[in-house]
Amino acid sequence: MSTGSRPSDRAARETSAFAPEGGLTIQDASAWILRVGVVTSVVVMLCGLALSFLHRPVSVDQMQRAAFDGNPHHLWQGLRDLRGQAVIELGIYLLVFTPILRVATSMVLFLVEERDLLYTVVTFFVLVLTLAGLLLLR
Amino acid sequence: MFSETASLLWLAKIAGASLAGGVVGAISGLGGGIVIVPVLTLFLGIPIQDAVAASIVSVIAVSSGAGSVYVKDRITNIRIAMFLELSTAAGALFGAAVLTRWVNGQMLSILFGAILLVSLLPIVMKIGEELPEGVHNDRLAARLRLNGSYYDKRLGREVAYDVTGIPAAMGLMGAAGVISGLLGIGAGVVKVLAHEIAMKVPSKVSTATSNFMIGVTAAAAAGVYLKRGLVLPYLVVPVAVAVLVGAFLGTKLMERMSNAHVRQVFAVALAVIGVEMLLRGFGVRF
Repeated sequence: MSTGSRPSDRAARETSAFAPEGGLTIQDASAWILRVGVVTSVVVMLCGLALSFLHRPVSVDQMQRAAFDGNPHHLWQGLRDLRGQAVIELGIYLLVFTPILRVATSMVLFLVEERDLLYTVVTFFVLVLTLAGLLLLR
Repeated sequence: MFSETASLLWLAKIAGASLAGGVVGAISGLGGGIVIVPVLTLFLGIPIQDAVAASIVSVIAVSSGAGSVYVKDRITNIRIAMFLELSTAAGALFGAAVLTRWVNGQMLSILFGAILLVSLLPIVMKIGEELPEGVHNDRLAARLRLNGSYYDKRLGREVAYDVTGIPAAMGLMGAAGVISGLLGIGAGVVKVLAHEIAMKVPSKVSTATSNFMIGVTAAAAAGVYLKRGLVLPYLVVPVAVAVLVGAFLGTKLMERMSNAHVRQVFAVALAVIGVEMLLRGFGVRF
């Protein structure tokens, strides 16, 4: 199969590095997180929308103006009262955190499974950048 | 009761438009955001800032949904994605956190029209239809081990590739990030250009890897929009869910038709929308 061309040799090694024997690969972990994350957040958002309308109808005007409430205490309170908007916001958070969780998991796997310090560091900085907006901005 | 009907109708209209946007975005290869923002603003009267905020959240859904398939098929190059995400995420933060303060609705419209028209170039010029040849890793690519291989179903064999032009690609990716953060779109076309023109990565790898990166870029930008309270939850639900379903349907439809022709038809339609956004930005209304 191998014609001895250099790129394919290197590539073959590369591929095997992505799939260590018996270990969890970054590819499989990422695929799983992305799928579960999207499905869960969509279900939660739709439940939130349904809850809103079960409680009492939300007017078009309200829907066009009700802004996302970034306060975690309000969110928690809203979830305990099963308020629709709070449940929708939880779904939105789940969606935004899906790729972030994927990055965090990749970072751990680069370190633990692949023992690749360079990419562990690269991934760490990507993680910091994705969280910066949520955590640092006022 | 009357108000409830009106509300449901509003949700249905948004969802219908987003579904169509998702289908067109998938078939044209431009992605959902760049289609959905103009549709929401031009046809449904949603303020462009609200459309942008809803779009950036829905982009995460589409990217993650499609990404889970590509990644499983081992087409995505995880190292390239991770390394270049440094510049897209930084760009997205800058676009969302800094530039949005300087840009008003009119300027957003103009930028949107311009980016939409530029994005159509690859369709017209048919970039990336053949495998790149004679590419060798440059020093940075070798150091970062960015080369890889994938199984090409159409060719029926494993394709190995080297990678070059990393600095140029990082610059383009930074620009893609800024556009993402500012306009609420995935800017997949710019990412694909960076992969194919600067780095000479095969087209399939480029598409899969770009898509994979879009989720992270969009998450970085969405964090800013969420924190600033710019996201309207009741707008996000119909947009995100319907774009996701639309993108899925669009991808399925793509498999059944010879895409070159259909793409050209959509390109014309999108060009019209691009021009309309430009005109609206300059204050011309119909």
